[in-house]
Amino acid sequence: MKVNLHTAEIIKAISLDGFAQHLAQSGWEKRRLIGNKASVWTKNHGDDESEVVLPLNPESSDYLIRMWDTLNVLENVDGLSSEEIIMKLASAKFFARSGMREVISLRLFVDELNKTELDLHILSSSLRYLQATLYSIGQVKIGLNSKGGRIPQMVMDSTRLSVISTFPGSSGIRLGTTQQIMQGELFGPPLSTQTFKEFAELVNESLSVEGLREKATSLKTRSASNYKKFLSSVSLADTAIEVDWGSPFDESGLKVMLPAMTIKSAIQVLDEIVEEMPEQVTTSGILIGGNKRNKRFEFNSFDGEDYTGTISEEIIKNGRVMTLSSSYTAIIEVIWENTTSTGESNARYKLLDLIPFEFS
Amino acid sequence: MELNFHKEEFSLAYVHAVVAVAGYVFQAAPRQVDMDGVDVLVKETSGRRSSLDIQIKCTADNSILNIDKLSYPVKISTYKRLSADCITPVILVVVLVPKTIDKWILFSEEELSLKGCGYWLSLSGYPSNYNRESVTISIPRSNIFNVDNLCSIIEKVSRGEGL
Repeated sequence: MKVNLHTAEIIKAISLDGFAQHLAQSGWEKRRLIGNKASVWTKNHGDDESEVVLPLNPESSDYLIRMWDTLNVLENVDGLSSEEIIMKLASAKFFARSGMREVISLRLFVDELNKTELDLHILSSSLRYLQATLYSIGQVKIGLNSKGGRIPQMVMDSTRLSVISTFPGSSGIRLGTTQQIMQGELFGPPLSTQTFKEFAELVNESLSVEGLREKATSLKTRSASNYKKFLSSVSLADTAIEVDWGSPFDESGLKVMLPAMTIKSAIQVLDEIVEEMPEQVTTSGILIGGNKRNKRFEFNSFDGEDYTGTISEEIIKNGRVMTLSSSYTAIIEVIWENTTSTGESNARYKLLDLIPFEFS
Repeated sequence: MELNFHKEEFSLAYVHAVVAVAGYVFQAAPRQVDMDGVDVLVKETSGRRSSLDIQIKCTADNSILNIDKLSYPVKISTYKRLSADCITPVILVVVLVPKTIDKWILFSEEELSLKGCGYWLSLSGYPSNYNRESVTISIPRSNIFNVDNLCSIIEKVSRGEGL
């Protein structure tokens, strides 16, 4: 193994859980434990048997030298270079710091179901709704609503993901923001960091019903809805998921594992939240169009927003008078739909009520 | 070349020679970076495949040699590392060499003689020390780092006994 000044940092960035999984997948067998400090693994090759020691705690005083030794043995026995192993096993934190960007690693434990492959549509829809969730959380963080619910460009620029690498031998993918964090931004967390932190906390809170309810509610209906779609896509694999968030900021980062049953419970909670908390807009403007027969309306608010959509049954049943070109205060329900492959969502509007507007 | 470099290389050669004759695998740790203060890994090739870490120091200061012990000062960071709980046992080997470098080695057609002696000590279980700079440790002169003693150290490690 080639050693340079970054070796210690790289070794410290290796995920020990991931390393144990890698050893098991590579034909190594766990033989015994050295107290609660390390596990000993062996592998037969021909008449020979090799042994490696895997520390259980990165705080062990001889952690670095044990890991260095183990990586050396794997190079010789498995013919896998230390660089390849590190690319597979290093934590999101390592890639975040070396790339100066926010990083999320997703790992689906399909091997526990004796599968070696993951359906493409599960991965693609999971990634699509992950991106949509980050966009909508980013929008909540900047507190800006834009025309037609479109995600502001600065949110998209800050939180758009690209693929860094996949994990060979398991269903995992490492994603990073396309935009790097500039040196000046290190004085305070930029939008991308704030957004990823909220997302990681949302995943972490998904371990408890109350925690998820509180967190998802604070991130608004659109984020809850997109996160629900993300978890629904993941749940099709019927396995646990590990989310590892790494940030260039020292104090930031979080790793969470959600078991399959927890994912299903979280989806139920999110369903309730989205149902209980439909997003509503109350705005004043002019009714441009209204047709009770085909239940369509068009409304231009005084602040320049255009709303086109359906009229609720209640308005029609109540015989509400709708006078075109008149001023009203409209109560409109917003339903978010992900319709594009980029993770953006479009708004559908439903007119819930119209109250004549009086100029003061 | 600096004298310290000569000392490092010579003490490594001393330990390597003892490990080779004892029949264990000698593996030098990378020296470009600090690998937990370990200089050498010694491994059994069979049996329980026990292993031992060694940190090596070399000195030409023979004033450390007393009647029955060596009084050797180590940095507090070294003391903490060597006395900490760890996965693989670690020992300190202090190689005491003659004052002048031309006396370190003798060779002829019949022999190669390394002049100097290594002494070993395990600091496992030593109490915390709150000195700021260094701690002076006592190494019994009977703890010579030779083939017999290395074999008995490895046997103890193999049986899970303390050193």
